[in-house]
Amino acid sequence: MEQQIAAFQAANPWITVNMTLQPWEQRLETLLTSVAAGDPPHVTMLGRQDLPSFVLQNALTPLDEFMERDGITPDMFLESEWRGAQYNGQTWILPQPTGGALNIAWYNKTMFAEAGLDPESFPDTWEELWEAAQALTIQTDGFLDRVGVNVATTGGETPAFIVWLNANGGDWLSEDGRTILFNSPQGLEALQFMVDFTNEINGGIEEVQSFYSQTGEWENGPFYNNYEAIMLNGSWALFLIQDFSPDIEFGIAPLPIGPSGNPDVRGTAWGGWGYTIPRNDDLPEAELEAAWLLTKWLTTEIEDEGACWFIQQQQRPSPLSECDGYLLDGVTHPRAEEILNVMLYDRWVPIAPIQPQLNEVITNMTDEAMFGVKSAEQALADGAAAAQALLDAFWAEQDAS
Amino acid sequence: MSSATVQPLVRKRTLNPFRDLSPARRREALYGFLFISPWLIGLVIFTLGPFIASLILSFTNYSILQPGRWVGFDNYIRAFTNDDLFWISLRNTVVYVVGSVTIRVILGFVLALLLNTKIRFLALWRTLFYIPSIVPIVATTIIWLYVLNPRFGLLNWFLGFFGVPRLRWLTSPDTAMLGLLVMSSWWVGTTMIIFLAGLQGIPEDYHDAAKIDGANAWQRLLRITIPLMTPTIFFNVIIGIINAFQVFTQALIMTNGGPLNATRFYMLYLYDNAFGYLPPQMGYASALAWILFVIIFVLSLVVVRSSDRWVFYGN
Repeated sequence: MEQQIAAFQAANPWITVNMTLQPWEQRLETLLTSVAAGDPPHVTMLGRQDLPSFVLQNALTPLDEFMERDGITPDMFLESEWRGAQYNGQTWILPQPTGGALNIAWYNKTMFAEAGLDPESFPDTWEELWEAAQALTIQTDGFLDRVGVNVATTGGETPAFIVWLNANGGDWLSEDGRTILFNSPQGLEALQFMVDFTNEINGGIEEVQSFYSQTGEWENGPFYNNYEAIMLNGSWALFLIQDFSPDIEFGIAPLPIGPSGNPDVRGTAWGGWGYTIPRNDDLPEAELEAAWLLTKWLTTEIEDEGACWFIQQQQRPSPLSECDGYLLDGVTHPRAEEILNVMLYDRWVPIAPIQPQLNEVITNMTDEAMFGVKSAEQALADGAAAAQALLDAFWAEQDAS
Repeated sequence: MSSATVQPLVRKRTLNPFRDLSPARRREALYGFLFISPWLIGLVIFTLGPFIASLILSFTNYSILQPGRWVGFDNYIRAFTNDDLFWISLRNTVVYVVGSVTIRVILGFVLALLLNTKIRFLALWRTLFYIPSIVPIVATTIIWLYVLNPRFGLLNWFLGFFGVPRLRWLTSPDTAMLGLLVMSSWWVGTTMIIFLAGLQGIPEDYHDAAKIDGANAWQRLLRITIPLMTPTIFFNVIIGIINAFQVFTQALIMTNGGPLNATRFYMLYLYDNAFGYLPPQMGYASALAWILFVIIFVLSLVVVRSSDRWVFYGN
């Protein structure tokens, strides 16, 4: 990051950039209060899952005029990435890095072979995943020793239910963000799949949580220590595997589809990050211009040490169509094509302005079904009603103001 | 015969007692205020100011980025009539308050009794029991994540000696609250120290006299120690209630309110409304804060009023 900024300053000697890192937990709080105080940063990184709320709170600067002036066009980005950068017909953020490649199946080929499965062929449907997991999961006296796959989490910040719903051809929210759609046959199939899989193959949600409480994250993660046969995680897992468990022979595959699923749609392009210019009505024109130039450098610069170079150092997919994020020192990472092929199955999923509240409702709904408090059907109906009530209250307030 | 009218010595009431002071005393008072002015200014700016601001905000739909519209009592009505999580979080918190205060008062008292005897290395034992109270809470939660681990945790290992099957603790809605209540005993050191001070304030003469009259240890505990300790018990109960109602960090780090809202405490819900939701529900969170204030105030008042019946001040 510092090198990227140094290159920017060299190319724009009249601009000095001070970069400040924010603690993860306080990032939104800090940004909100700085905007409210009239003293926000010129440029900030923002999660695209937070975009609708910030736009409706009038906290960001639209970028369309700058883009038109400087020839920045939507086709410079992958379509699924671009959709998340827009809200209410305007562009508010430029993507960096990707919102896609979140739900990749990383699987242990050795375990597959030992279980009598074809290590070169990952399950294509939920039914096949079920059969594979039966062979891969190991339990002793009702306690999990090895998990085949945990369907209760799917990597990234997307609620697992939305990921499985998407893989089953379902929608969770209308594109205008006003109507809950997940109380549908596809939704019921998805939730029932999660419940049945967790109960019948993994011994129940309490056992799953108990199992994962003994493992950790990072180098203590179960996949890296051979306690998990299939890990559902984002594109960044490539380097975690290489760092923490270089000896694992692993495969990369898209998610299996459900009975109502579309073979061409498997993963979600949800959220992701980007750079944006917080609204500041007192900002001098020269500083606003500097903010735009920095934003452009961090998100669209292909040639110099800008956006593309930055992603290539990280060896990740780039939201820029022309940028090969896995190209480093003239060599493309040998596994890049597999990951990029998985991304082709991603579909952009809408985000609500009150996403954290809806995530809570969806998590609660899933838990109620998983813990057996309600049937999947009842939990789904109640969850949809609760989510719709929250949306209705929000939009009523928004439309009235 | 002369008659002299005796003027009664009645202090004339005045609205400005400062003016009645002599110049020297007035100067003295001014210096006093000058010396406490840093604290006073801090109190106004950082305590009273936000205190009043939050009261005003609780009647608006303030969301940080938007100034907020006056909504009257809507936030309060919403909490009591249209928010399930409000009742869930309040219920969980009350359960925690009752449980943790009971544990800490009883355990603290028992430990104080034991540490009020003449045993070897007494100072060491007192220190060891007190040290957990001063460990930072985040570090404490990390420790207890291991203690309560269902697979290899210390607590399950210990209970295993008594034939208790492995409990799932924080991974089950049935035992998550119990796990946090057990964890609350970690801070018994503070209560213990206060009880210890109270025990050491009981004159030995009472015990000596009781021994002469033939009272055994149990009778002396029930008839002398506990009655004379009621002021200290009263203090620990009040402070315990006030602190327990604000339980937050352990739920945030260890369970995030789960599983299934089993550890969704009031302060955690308030925090989510203020800083977790989008747009931030600052107005509603302020209303929740004031509701909590009233609850704690009323409960404290009830305990204080009840103290006439059970607290013995020796007169």
